[in-house]
Amino acid sequence: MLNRLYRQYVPNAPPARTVMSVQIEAGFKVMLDVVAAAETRRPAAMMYPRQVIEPGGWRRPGLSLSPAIRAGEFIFLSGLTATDPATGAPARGTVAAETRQILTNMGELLAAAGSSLAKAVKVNAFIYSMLEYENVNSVYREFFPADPPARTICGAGLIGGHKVEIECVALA
Amino acid sequence: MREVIPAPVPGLDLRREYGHHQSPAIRAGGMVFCSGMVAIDPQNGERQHGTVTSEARRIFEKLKLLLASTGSSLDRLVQVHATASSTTCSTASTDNMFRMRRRPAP
Repeated sequence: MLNRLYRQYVPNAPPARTVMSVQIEAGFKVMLDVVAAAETRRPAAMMYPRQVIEPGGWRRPGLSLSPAIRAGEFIFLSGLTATDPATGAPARGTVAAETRQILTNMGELLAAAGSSLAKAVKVNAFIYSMLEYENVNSVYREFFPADPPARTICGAGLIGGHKVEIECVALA
Repeated sequence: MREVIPAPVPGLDLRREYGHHQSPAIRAGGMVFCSGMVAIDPQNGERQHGTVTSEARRIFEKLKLLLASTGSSLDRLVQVHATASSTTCSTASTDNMFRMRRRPAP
């Protein structure tokens, strides 16, 4: 059903796409978030080589991911779960506590990449249960006090017993 | 430069309508990053629950409005995250509804 409609609205040269089964707020069945080119010039992210951002404390041998990638004007962060920044050990706690730890770590990672939370343009947050939505939101507001980035939140199954995972794209 | 894109119609501003701490979209580096969009009446912000098809159609129509207000359009999409409620994807029990996995598209 969704695919048929999708083809109607995006008939040619379809964009990169990910489909997920998640919990959506307030009983909705579908949610879409998109990234579009704003201008006719090629986006900067496609014009420059990519650079891995991996500050000392963020190295995780054995994990097939980079903490962050700089491409052109953007920094793309992997999904972060709550960890002790010194040891990398999981820092599980309440949804509010995990959210606070993640956003603190995210700020430090962005700073190491020459960016900051204030330069975030898009945040995707995954919670183990949408019943905890407000517990994420209340902490989130503290870290993005003005002009918050575009955002998508949904409920999803998370690995490692974590309750929250957050990823973001920021301007370099 | 990072620029907050205001909602072109009242119902697209989920911060105002529902207190969600987010901007409708952000323009930066030649790209437009849109917040996750659900089926809400663009004029008055009322929820418009329906079938998967009807909700998706409403979302696409709102995306057209939002992208047009930035000078972009659906023709210039580079990435889409499409999320569907697990209850519409399977006949899972209520228990399973709260233990969902992210599943890639087939």
